[in-house]
Amino acid sequence: MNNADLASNMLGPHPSPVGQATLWLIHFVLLCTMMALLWSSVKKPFGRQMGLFIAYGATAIGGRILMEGAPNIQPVTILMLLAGAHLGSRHGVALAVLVTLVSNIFLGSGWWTIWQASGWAMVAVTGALASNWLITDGRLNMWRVASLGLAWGFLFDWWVSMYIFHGGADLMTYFQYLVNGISFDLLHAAGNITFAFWLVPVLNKFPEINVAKLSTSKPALTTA
Amino acid sequence: MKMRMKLYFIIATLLISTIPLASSSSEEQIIIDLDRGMISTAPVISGDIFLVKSIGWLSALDLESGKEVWAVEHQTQHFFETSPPLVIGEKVVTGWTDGVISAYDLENGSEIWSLETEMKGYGITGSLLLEGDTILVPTDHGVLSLYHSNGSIDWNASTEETTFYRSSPLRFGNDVLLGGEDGRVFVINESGNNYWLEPPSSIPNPSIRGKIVSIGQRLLIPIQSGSEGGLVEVYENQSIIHPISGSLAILSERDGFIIMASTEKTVLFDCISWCVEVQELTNEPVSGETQFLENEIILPVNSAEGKWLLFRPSCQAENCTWKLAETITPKHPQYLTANLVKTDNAIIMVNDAGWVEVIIKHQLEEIIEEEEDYFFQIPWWFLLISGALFILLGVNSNGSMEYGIALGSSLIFMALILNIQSIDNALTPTQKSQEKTLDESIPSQWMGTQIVLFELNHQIPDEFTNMNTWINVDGTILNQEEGVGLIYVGGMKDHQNARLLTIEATEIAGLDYSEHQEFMGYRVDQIANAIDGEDGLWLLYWEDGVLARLSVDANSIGNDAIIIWRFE
Repeated sequence: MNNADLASNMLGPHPSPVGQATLWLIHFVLLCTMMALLWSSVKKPFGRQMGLFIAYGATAIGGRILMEGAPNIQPVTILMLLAGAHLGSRHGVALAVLVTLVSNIFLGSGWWTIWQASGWAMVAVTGALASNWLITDGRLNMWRVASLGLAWGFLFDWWVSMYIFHGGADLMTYFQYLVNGISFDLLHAAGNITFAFWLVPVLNKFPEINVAKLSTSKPALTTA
Repeated sequence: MKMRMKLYFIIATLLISTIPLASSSSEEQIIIDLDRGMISTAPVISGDIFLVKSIGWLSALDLESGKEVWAVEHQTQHFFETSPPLVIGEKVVTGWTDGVISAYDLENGSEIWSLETEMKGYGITGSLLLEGDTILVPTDHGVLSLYHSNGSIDWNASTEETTFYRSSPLRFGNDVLLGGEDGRVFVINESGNNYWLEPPSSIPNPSIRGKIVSIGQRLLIPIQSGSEGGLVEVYENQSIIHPISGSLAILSERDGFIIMASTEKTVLFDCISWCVEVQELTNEPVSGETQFLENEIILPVNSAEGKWLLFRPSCQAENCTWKLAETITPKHPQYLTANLVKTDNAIIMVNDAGWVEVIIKHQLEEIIEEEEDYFFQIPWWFLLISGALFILLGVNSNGSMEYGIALGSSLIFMALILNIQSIDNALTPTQKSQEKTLDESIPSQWMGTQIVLFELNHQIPDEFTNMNTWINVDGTILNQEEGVGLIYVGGMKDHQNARLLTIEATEIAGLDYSEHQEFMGYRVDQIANAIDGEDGLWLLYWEDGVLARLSVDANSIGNDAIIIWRFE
C-alpha cells in the first residue's frame, strides 16, 4: 500500500471549520423550524401529546449524551422512528431538530448538525408514514420497528456522511468514506435493533399511546 | 417455573463466561525502595529471584513481584559493599568489608558456612573468581582459595607490601594477579611466593582499584593517578600508557576490545594486537561497574541524575561505530556506580539511594500477539449463543420472557461491540497496514508505558530536523541521533484514548496541536507544522500497528499503547 492509497483510505477530507456567525445561523434556522412545526400543531400543550413529546425528547437527548463514548451507538434513531409513529410527522420532525440542537450543545456543533437534524427528521417522517404498518391493533410490531431501525442505521449514517461535501470531497471520496465506516454503520443498525427490542415491549404496556398518527395537523376523521 | 430456571442458568453461565474479560495485562514495572543503604554492585539473577547487596544486607527478591524472598543482615563498619555476590549452584557466596566471606542457601538464605579472614583495610571489596571446586577470594592484602562446598581453605597467600581495594584476582598461568593500592601489580601463587610489577615511573601516586585483564600474554592494567593515569599495556618488558585522566571505573573486555571508563571520559580500545583507541564513547562521569555485552555497552553515569548509557553498534558497510542508543534513568535519581542487569524480559536497576527498580519488558511482538489472540479470549461465541437462545425463548412468549428477545439481542450486540476491531478488519481487510515493530527503537524504560511516535515528513520544528529524538515524559531528551526527524515521546501512562495521549505528547515535545470535534468525535487538524489535508497529505495514525480510521478519541487504548502519527 503506497502513500496515495493510504491517503485515499482515510476517513475523508474534513469540512472547513464553521465560523461563530454561521453556527449561530444554523442554530437559529433549526430552532425556528422546530418551533414552527411544534407550536403550529399543538392544541393542548400539556396534554398527552406533549407528554409523549417531552418523554421522547428527554430520553433521546439524555441517551445520546450518555452514550457519547460508545462508537455510533445511541437511541435517538429508534426514538425518532417511534416518535414519528406516535406523534406524527410534524411533531416528529420538531423533536428531531430539538434533540439534535440540544444534544449538540454538549457534543459539539457544526455543519453536521444540519445533516443530523435532517436525517433524524427523515427517520421521524418514515415513522409517521409507516405508522399504520408499525402499529396494529394498538400494539407496536417489534419486528417491523426493528427492521426500519436496521435500515435507518445505515441510511442515516450515509446521509450524515454527506457533510464531507462541505470540505470539497468528490463522489468517489464519499463512497470510500462510506466503505470505511461500514462497521460503524453496522453498530448503529445493531444498536437500533436492540433498542427496538427493549422499547417496544415497554411501550406496548400502554396501548392508549399506540395510535397511528400520519399527521398531527389533520386528526383522523370519525364517522358517525 | 422451568422457564425461570432456564433463565437463571443462562444468566449464571453468562456471568461465568465473562470472567476472562476482566483479566488484564500484568504489571510492567516494580519499584522497591529497599532502604537498606547504598547499593554499589549490580544485582545477580538466579532463577526466579534476584539478589541485591547493600550495606550490611544481602536481599533476595522475587523477580516477578519484587517481594522479599529472604534477607540476611551482616553489618560492617564501612558504608559500602562492593564485592558482587557469586551464585554457585544452590548457594550464593559473598564477601563483606569486614573480611568475612559467607555462603547462603539460595532458597531460604540460611547460612551454609562463613569464614573470617584477616583484615587490614577494607576487607573483601573485589569480585570472587570461581575455579572449579574452589573460589579465589581477594582479601585486602592477598588471595584466599576456598572450597566453595564447605568454606575450607585450599590455600592462602598474602603480602605485607600493600593493600587491595576493589581489586579482583586474575588467573595468569599458575599465578594470581592483583592490583595494589600503590599501583604495583602483585603476582601471588599458592606456594606463598609473590613478586610485583612496578608501575611506570611517569605515573605519580599510582593506584589500581579494579581488575586487571589479560589478552594472551599482554596485561592491561588500569592505573589511576589524577590526570596522569590511564590504561597501561604491558607485554614482556614493554609498556605503553594510554592516558585517561580522572577516577577510573572497572574495565570491561570482550573479544579483544576494552572499555576503559573514568569520571572524565570513556574510551573503547581495540586491543586485539597493541591497543588502539577506537572511539570515545562519552565524557560523562562513569565510575564503578561497566558492562561489555555482545551488542551492547552499558555505562553507569555517577552524577546526581544517575543514569545508565547504553551503546549499540551502528554499522554502515563494514564500518561499525558504537552509538548511544538508550539512556535509562531510575524513577528515583541518585548517584550510582552499580551496573544494571538486563535479561531477555527484565531490567533491574539499583542505585546509591538503595532504590531497586524492575522493568518487566514485554517484547512488542508479544504485545501484538496478545492483541491478536484477544479476539479468541473473549467469549464472543458464548455471547452469540446465549443471545440466540434468549431470542428463541422470547419469541412468542409472554410475561417476563417477552424481554428475552431484547436481552438476547443485547448479548449479541455486546459481542459485536467487543469485536468491532476484528469485524472492521474483516470488512475492510485491504485498508489495514500492519505496522513494523518499533521494538528496536523503543528505550527499555518505556516498555509498558504509552508511547507516541511522530513521523511528520519533515514538518517539524528546526530543533528536530535531521535528528531522531527520544523525549521522556518529564521532558528530558533521552537521546538524539542523526535521522529523518522522528520524534518519540514515551513514558506516559493512564491516557484513555489516542487523543489525550497525543495532546500530552505534543505538549511534552513542544509541538503545535489543534483539533476539532465532529459527529464521530475529535479529528486532528494540525500537529507541529503538518496541517491535515495540506498538499494532499493527511495526518494518519496507527494504534499498536493498526491504521486507525476512526476519530482520535473513538477507541480506548491500553497502558502500553503505541500511537504513530504520520503525515502522508
